[in-house]
Amino acid sequence: MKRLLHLLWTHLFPLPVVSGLEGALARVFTACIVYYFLPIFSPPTVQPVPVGMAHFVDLTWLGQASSFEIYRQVLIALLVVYASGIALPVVLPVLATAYIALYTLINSQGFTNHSHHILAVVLFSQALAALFYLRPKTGNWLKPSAGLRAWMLVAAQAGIASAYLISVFSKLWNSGFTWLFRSHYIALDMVKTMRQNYYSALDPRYATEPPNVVWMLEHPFWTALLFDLGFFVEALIVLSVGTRKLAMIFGVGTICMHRSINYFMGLEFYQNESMLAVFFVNVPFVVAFLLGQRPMDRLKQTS
Amino acid sequence: MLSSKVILLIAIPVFCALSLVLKENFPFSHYPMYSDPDPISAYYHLEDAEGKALPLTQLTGVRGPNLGKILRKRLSDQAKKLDVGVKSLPREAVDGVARDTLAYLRTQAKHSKQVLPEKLRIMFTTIQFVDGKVEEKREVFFAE
Repeated sequence: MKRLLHLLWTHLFPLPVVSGLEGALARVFTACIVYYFLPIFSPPTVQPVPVGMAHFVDLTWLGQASSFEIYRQVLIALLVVYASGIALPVVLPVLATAYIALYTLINSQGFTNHSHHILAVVLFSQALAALFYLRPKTGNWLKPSAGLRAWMLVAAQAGIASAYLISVFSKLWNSGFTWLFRSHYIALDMVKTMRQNYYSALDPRYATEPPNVVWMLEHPFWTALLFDLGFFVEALIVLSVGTRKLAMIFGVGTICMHRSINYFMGLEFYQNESMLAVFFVNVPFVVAFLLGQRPMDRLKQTS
Repeated sequence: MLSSKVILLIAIPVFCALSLVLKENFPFSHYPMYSDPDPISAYYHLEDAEGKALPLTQLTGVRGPNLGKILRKRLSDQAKKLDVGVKSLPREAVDGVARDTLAYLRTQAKHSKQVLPEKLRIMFTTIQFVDGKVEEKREVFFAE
């Protein structure tokens, strides 16, 4: 046991080496994903149930078609600068704040749309890492240093892993610590989600029963086992922060979990899946590796 | 200088704790979806006065699952205001919440350049697994 704990401590949260090319690819991929999911139409002009910064700031002006169009262009410009890597200690906090403001208004309508949380969490975590480098003589103004590149990867991974860990805590707390034994009832929620999808647009694709739902409810043990697997992936992904191979395994595992939810419930997790592909499956690392940049060592264990 | 290990061992629990305390305050969230699996599941949808289902997203921009989220949030806020449980809310308070929700949906329909029928109904359906079958029971939650 002592040896296991020692092993865990030794390998926990290393700071990996991120090559210039990998860092640049990660920023370009992230910027493209954020841009792809930006709303095209202006959000509502009301904030009936304010959340987050909307408690303190009136964000309804963002919903006006004319101001939204300008705001969107500013966000796109910030994404371009972010992707270029110039002045990240300043650009990233501004970008994260601007992005969070827009989705705060969208989430101040009396219901929460969780689709964009993961992108906000990534930008927010990276902004915190970048702020740490907001010091003169750190050499991060024209291009990010090796330290900032490593921390941007680890911060994004930590933010994403924390989101899954929070979901695990909520499952335990809200179910009175019985989630693992009652998870088979999620099969009923699969029916609910199909119906809700149907009534969104009266789309006949959703007018059926989810696949295997009766079998799942007739076999609660095996169904619970299936859902509990997802629970453990969510709980343990945090252990892969800072690693390469383990992060890739958990990244693929979590994407598989989202894909299976999509198959059974028709729920989409494109933002989560794309962030997992960039920061856990390490697509930028793989591409950089194939192009000849192979930094396999770890950074010195200091910030 | 602190090592990455120490920084993350502080930052991750702090972020998790903050999210669990702040709940739904973007960008924080406690991700409560499917966190309490129950033998009864339920959902809401919108109909016109003749009982014809309406495509909520096309008409208002609000997605199907969000109708339930709006109602649950407003009912829970109302219950807190009256210092009672959601299930003990008086009928007039529930009707008030439903009326306000429909008014909000009409505003959203206007924003999407759509018009909702003059009279609307919010339907409430429960789902259970009984005798090897998935059983759905539908009732009128509120009618204008």
